[in-house]
Amino acid sequence: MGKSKRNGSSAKDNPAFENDLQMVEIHKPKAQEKGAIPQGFECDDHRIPLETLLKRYGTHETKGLKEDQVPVNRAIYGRNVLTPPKKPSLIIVLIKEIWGGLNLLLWACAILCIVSYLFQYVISPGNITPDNLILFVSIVIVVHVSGGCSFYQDFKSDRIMESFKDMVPRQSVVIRNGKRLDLEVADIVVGDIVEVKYGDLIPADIRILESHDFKVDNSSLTGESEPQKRSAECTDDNPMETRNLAFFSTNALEGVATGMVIRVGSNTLMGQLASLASNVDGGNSPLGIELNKFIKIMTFRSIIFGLSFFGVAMFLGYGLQNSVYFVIGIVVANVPEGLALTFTMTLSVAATKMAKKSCLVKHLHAVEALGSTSVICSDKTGTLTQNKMSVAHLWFNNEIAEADTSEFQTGQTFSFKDAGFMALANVAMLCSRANFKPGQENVPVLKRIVEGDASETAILKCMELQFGNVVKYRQKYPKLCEIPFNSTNKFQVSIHDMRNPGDPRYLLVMKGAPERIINLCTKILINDKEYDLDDQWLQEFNKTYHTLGTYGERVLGFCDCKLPLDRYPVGVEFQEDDPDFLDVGFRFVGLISMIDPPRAAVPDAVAKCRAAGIKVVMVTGDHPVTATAIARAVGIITPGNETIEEMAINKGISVKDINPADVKAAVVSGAELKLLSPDELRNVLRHHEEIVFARTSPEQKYIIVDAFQDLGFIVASTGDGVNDSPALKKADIGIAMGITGSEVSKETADMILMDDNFATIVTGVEEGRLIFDNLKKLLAYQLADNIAEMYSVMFFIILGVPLQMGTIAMLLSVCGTDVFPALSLSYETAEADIMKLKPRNPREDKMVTPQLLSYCYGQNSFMEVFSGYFVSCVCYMCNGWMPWALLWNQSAWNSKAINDMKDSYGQEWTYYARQELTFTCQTAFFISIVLTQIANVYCCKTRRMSLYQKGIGNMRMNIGVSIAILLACFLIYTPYLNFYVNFRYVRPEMWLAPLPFMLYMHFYDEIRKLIIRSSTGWLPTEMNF
Amino acid sequence: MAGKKSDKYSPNGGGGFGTFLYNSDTGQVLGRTCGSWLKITVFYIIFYACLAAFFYLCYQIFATTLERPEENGSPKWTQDASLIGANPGVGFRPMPDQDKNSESTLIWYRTKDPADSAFWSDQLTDFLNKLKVKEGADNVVECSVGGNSATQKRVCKVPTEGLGDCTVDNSFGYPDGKPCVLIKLNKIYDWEPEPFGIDDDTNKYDKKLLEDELEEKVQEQPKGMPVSLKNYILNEVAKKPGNEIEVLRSVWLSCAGENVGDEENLPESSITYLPFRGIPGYYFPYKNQPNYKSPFVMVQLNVPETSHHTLINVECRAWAKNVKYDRIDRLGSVHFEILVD
Repeated sequence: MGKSKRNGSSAKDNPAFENDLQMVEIHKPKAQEKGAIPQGFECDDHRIPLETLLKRYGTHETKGLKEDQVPVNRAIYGRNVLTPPKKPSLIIVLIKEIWGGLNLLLWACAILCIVSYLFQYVISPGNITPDNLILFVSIVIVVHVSGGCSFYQDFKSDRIMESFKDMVPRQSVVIRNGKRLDLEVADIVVGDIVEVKYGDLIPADIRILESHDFKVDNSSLTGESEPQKRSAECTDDNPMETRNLAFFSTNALEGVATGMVIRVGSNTLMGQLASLASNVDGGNSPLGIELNKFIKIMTFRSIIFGLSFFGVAMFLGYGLQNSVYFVIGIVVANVPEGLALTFTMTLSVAATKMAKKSCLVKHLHAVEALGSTSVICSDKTGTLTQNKMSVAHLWFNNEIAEADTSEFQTGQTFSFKDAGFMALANVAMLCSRANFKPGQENVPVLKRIVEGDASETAILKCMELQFGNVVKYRQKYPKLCEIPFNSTNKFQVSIHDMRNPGDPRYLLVMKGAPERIINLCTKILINDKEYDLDDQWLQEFNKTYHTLGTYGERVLGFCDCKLPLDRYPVGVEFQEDDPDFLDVGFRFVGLISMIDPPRAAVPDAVAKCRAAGIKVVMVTGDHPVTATAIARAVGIITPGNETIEEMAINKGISVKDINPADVKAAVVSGAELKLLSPDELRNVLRHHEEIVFARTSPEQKYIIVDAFQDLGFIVASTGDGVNDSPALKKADIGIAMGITGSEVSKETADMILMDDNFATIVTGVEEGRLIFDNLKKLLAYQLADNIAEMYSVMFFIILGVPLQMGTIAMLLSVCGTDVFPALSLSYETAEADIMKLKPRNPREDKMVTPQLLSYCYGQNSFMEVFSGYFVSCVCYMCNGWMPWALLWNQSAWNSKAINDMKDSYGQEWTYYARQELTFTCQTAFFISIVLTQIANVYCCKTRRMSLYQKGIGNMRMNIGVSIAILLACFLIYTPYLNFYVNFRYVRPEMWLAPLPFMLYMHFYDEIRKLIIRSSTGWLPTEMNF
Repeated sequence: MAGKKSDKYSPNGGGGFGTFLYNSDTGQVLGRTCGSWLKITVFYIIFYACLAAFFYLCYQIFATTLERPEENGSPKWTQDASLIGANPGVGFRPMPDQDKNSESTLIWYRTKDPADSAFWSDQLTDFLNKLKVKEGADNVVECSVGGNSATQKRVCKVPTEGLGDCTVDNSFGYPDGKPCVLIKLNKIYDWEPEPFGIDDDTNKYDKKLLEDELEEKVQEQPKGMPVSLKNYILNEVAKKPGNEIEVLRSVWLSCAGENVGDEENLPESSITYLPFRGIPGYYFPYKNQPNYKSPFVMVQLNVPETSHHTLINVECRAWAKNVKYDRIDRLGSVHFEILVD
């Protein structure tokens, strides 16, 4: 699978796209022949007679596995965990880090060094300087340290990932030895008998033994969103099609079932798909691409500079060995050795910061990519919403009352004196199968775990908040009979003994689909009075029902009735299977509507995105009405904007008459999407500011992401299902959900939201944008040093003065003293409100701009090298050498033969003394580089603002600068150590010499920024990197 | 699926290097239009002019804190404060052609070839010519033991007589296979030799002490002071009673074959020191006085006929109490080779 360019041609021509499609195809077994089932998933367990199957796995239909059989089966078939896809071995990753990219160039230098050392050694073993050997060792150390550091960073983020995986164990009910046990899913083995009910995730691939109205949602596996019935009969030879298999990680929607585990862990169908989906290379983020390009440029540049100066040196008569030495110097000066290190560390600092905000970054480069995001394709459920139903509205007394849907609601909202409300509440409390799991008395109501479906949970929690103890209330009025909800009846009934000696009639309470309920009613309760349910009330009912429907809410109707004593005397037996009480004429008490409410932080986050120029697009499998309602609630569709249909209705004209350019919002359903050609889809995406995709399948999400990318957007996409993986991979940033997300999606994603919250993405974007700015500053800071060093070597060759900066000193400054100030740049806070700017366009807004190169090559590095030469002059002048005495005098200076070279004061210097002087002045030059780099870091601290506006509050920078100075002192003044790195004692007053240039740099930069801030035209554009 | 996160925002927008060199659409050369190049050039001219001016300003300000060499000032840092140290090296003339091989210290010539000899002897002629006192140089005086010596302003005349065979007329002995090599001590500002045999406490000459100290030097390993030099010093001291200290303030000189083989090829007896086996103390201290000339010793190497066509390593050492010796770093000594064909 080669990387391919997409040049706007139809996506289908593209081999990579086809591959992607194939990926999607895998999840659509229906469209394929039987042979296309993932390899290794051959299975006859659903076909063979139950007896044989039980024998095969040594289990029993009702008692389950015997304790001693468990380890046996575990040994044979493995644990029920998905083995993560094979990662390249750590050693290979490490070797890649050490030998890859710019390091290769350094290795070449190291080899040149060792060769020239050996060469010297062979020619004149007695008379040899260890310089080349020391340089070789230093380069090797640098390469290993920087390679090791980036390796460690990757390793660390992997470790976070793994620890995170273990955080969410799930439980499942298993029958072993005839006992029901709650076991962790991972402990399930083949042959276990498990019980599943609605709301559960199927813990493994199971064959159904017994079922009751059991339906599963296979959408994450097959993309079909229709619930599918599952029962004990084998209906098809194909394991994908047969009804008696339910698959690992799919959802049980309705009913209950008992099943036997036939496949666990990676052997499950989902496991097979997972290993397929994640077995793909991650590709490159925009930053990665830029970094690669930058590395190429730097490599190319070093080689060109190296070779040309080799030529110049040979021409000037420096001799082969010296010229080779210069080449090494030039290359080492050109390669930003420290940059790879500080780049990785900066990214990982940001990743750590984001992890603290529940945003776990798997690939470091994704941090910055998130900052350049221009479209976020977000799921609805769980990401924008709280992923739990809660009661939004109640209708009683012919009025719609609003319930509190915030995430942190407490206490009651309604008055107990209101008879209408009390009647509705009574039905809501009694007619329910939901229960709090025991032992949660001290847990806040909203956080308690409930056994029961989503709507019942919502009502239960709402009532618990109102009344305090629903369980006690239910105990007061014992349940005599119950008809659970099913899809044919569309209602749920229970009959209670009201324990009222004055009125011994039983109370029947019922809830269900409102249209069904209202049909059974003859009366309606309004304000403690019963009215006949005439057309006027029916109209009211329909109006309310419709209104609640447009809110995208799920509505339930409630009614009750006191059963007449003549037909149902005290003590009568009720027939659950054959209800005969539907015609008694019920009293309608009200409606309760529920919605999965938006998370509290989301509307703000969406507004922030909008301010930041980021399009937020909702892609959901939900109904368009619900989707639109939530989109409006969170601001994805802003209040003033209408969809084309709404506009048509409001204006009373046909959809066709409306100019599409006037329409900003669009709601596109999956069915409509299917009919759109790629070009039409692009038009939709281009022309609408606010888009909601509803009823879409995961494959369509892939298509949407692709279409956005073709338009040049940088897309972040969220996803949780297995089938979202292609879209997650396709997106520039794939974001998986930490709580609800499937293992596969987490494996595929670049980033994981630990709290599933959309607002977290926005914090991530903010962090990413900041990191882009800070990386730019980092480049400006670190390149200056490299380039100044390169100039020093150039001037050395051209001016024929003694060498100003040894190669080892270059390494020490770039990989030593620069590192801490460089790292502190990553803690720089934003200069302006970065969330008010448009997202950067990676095609135009690059990290390495011509202006940045101009600034580094032409400005700050020049000031640094001038400072260095000034300090060097001071050093030589103090010792008696005027600068002109040194010009073009290199060969005499470096000649061992000349033992009496005359300085400006007529003193005569031995070779030894000259060498010592050279090393001393090189040390002074090094000091100058260290100090001007400190001035530089305070210049690079801001890109626009004055340092006087921004202040020096970044304590990490101040500490980093102090560390740099201490480190320089340590290198220069530690006996023996300084000797090996060719540093010599430098008088303390020499540290003052670079001061004027530090100030010059500072004031130049202030003026530069002042021009950038206060004027327009070519000058500020040229100056602003 | 490797094509994900598409390469489509590959930088440069697909334009190749050719487009970068010249883009016919926008008229850009190397990524800029001509106008843009002009502006950026003007910007950088101003930028560098300012930077250079600032550099020059700093340089000039710093230079005012120095004594100027052309005004016979002192270096800012001297002796041990400077990197030059307080241990003079030793230099020799003539030197091989530096342009041909800067690392060579080999004096090699054919006696038969006058041009060969001339290359070396001309250098010495030049050196001696430069010693001539300029017209109107009023601070040059004749110095002698017990007589004048150098001061802050005054310098000693370096005599060009009394050099025996080492004269211009004789072509410094080169054609005869008895080449003269000029040995001089490196000038170090303010440096003065510390004499042997002076009692530190009384500051008086002590014969016994002198003998002890010289003997100590003779015994030094690996290679001590030649006994001949010790005797020479004692002899010179004895010659000038009352001026012992003055005599002892000299920096003494010894030259010899570097290794045992070299000593065989160039026996001690074949080495002559002219006019004096050392540099008398009255030349010190060097204080960058006007008209100061380097004093020297001519060392005539009477290379035996048998040692012709043989390369001989010669090492000359300077001796005073405060001259330290290091063979590798060439401190207090100088090394050269001689090959007479």
